Amino acid sequence: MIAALETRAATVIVGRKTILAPLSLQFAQGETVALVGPNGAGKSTLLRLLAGELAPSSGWVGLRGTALADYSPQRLAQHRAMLSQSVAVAFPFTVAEVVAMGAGAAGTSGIEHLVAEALAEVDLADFGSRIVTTLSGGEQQRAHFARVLVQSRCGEALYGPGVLLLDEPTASLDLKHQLALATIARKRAAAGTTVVAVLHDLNLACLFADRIVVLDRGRVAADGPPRAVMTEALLADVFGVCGALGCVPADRPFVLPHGAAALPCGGAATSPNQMSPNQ
Amino acid sequence: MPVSGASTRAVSRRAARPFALRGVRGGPAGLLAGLALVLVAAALAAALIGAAGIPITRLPAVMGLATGDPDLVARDRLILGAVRLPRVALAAAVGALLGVSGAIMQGLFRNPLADPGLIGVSAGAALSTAAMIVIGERIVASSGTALPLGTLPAAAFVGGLVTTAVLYRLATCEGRTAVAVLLLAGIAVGALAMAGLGLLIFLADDRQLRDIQFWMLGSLGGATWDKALALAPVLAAVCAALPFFSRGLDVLALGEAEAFHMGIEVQRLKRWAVVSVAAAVGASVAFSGVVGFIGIVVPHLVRLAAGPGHRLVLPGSLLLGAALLLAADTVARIVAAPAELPIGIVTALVGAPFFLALLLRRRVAGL
Repeated sequence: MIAALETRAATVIVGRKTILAPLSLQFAQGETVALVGPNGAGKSTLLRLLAGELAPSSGWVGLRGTALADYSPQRLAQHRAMLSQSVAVAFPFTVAEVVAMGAGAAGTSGIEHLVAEALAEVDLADFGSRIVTTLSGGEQQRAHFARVLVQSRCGEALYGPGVLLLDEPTASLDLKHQLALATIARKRAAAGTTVVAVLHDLNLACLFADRIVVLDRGRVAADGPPRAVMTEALLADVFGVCGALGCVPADRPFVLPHGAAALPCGGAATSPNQMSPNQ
Repeated sequence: MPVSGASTRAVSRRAARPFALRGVRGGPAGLLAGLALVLVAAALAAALIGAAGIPITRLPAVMGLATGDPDLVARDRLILGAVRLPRVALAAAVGALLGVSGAIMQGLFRNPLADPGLIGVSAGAALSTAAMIVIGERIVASSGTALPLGTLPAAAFVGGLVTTAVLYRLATCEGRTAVAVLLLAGIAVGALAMAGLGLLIFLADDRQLRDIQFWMLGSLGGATWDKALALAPVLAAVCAALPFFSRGLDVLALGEAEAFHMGIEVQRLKRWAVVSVAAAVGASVAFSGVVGFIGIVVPHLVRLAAGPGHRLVLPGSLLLGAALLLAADTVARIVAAPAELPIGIVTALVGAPFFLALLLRRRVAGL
């Protein structure tokens, strides 16, 4: 089966600095993937590469078996939607206007309904006529998430489930809305959309994703289901912290960091299924 | 990437738009119809008011709809046909081009304070015109003939395009235009053009000085039907391009990366926006000299009424720009009659305080 999104030995080299070493990753349709890693690991670069915003310095990046470079921006936008880390809107557009921008050039009929639905989903139902720059950071982030949802749905109506790329979508959200966003994203994945999200919060990553790709200095340090990936050794090696690992619910590990790895962590690498939460 | 967030973020009072027309009867079409009415009123006033006034009661006779004193009708027709109407047409075309190029430029730069004069297009056009006046005339004078008609407009047009092309090359790297670099390079190029102008003024004789002054301050005094008609193709081309700009510029307000994510061919959009602005500004400078601030004031007023969506802002700026320049020209003609003020002085007297008020409001709003 053709992967929804795939990189083959793709690299990103800026000047003489290698940001991403040759990466070969496949993302299947309907998969939820969390990209995690320390600052500067290349997570956002990888996401921009997957979005087609960056061209690989060498190698190949493709969507449904066709190189991203062979898509026009408009066609690409109908197959993948992306939420950037922070978006500054230059003019006083209303929230509803910004969300409607996701619908694309075609004046889609029923756009108002689609916008209202997306706004309700991100808990901004009454914010449609507010000017987007007057909202708080978290509210703005939710508004842009609603815009990306509209774009994803309009593309889906044309070509079937596509790809949803999220760059730290929960960075300025409160706990409730972090979980709400993760739930919406999982629902989209259950309907067939491939969701790839850069996440800082390892616990949210474990809760949200079926698969975690850990990046470290432009290389894949680990790749697999949360329980296989999250180990004390990984926390120490990649993130430089000591942490205890537990599982709630049974297949979802959680991390409780308790110090920098320079301090003695105690114990060798253990996988979470061998540990109890209060160890 | 773009200029810092603080300076690009839009000014907005909490929640609502001050004069939002949303929900008002007529909606968007009503707004454009209203602006068209304002334009017609401004054109009518500009045609009738002046040193030789034509009361509106005499208009039916002039148009052949009623009978009147034949001598008076002939005189009125002569004034309108030979003097007023060409000037009305030229002022409307120049105003429309300046208004819409300001709106395009602000969308392109993601900054409501940007102006075509800002990236040095006007300065470049003015410099090449002044060079033509001072140096071109010397060359021609040595061969004993006058400067051919149309040379100055052509020089202004070429100057605007060359300036834009140079700036675009300076600011574009690996297929991406850095807006901050473009703005700063525009300031530098503008300063360079001003230095060049200073040098030319140093070299110029008295009559040439007055000609250069005309370009620097702007005037619609030499309006003829030929000039107005020469602007028509540029105006038509820009109008035809507007529908292709509106969604792109809307989405560009979210940033270049976001615009790409949402399916816009950003480089192509920016290239065409720059070419349109260069053509519009170059053409208008060619026929009216440097007229400032229309490009800032007009889109801002339209945005206050219609919101920032370019589907309305672009055509709205076209209509309001024409109306505003007609009004400014009428004032310039009558305020010091029988002499005429350069129109650039009138627009600057209105526009500069307006610009300062905008800045002040942004500062008060903490943006």
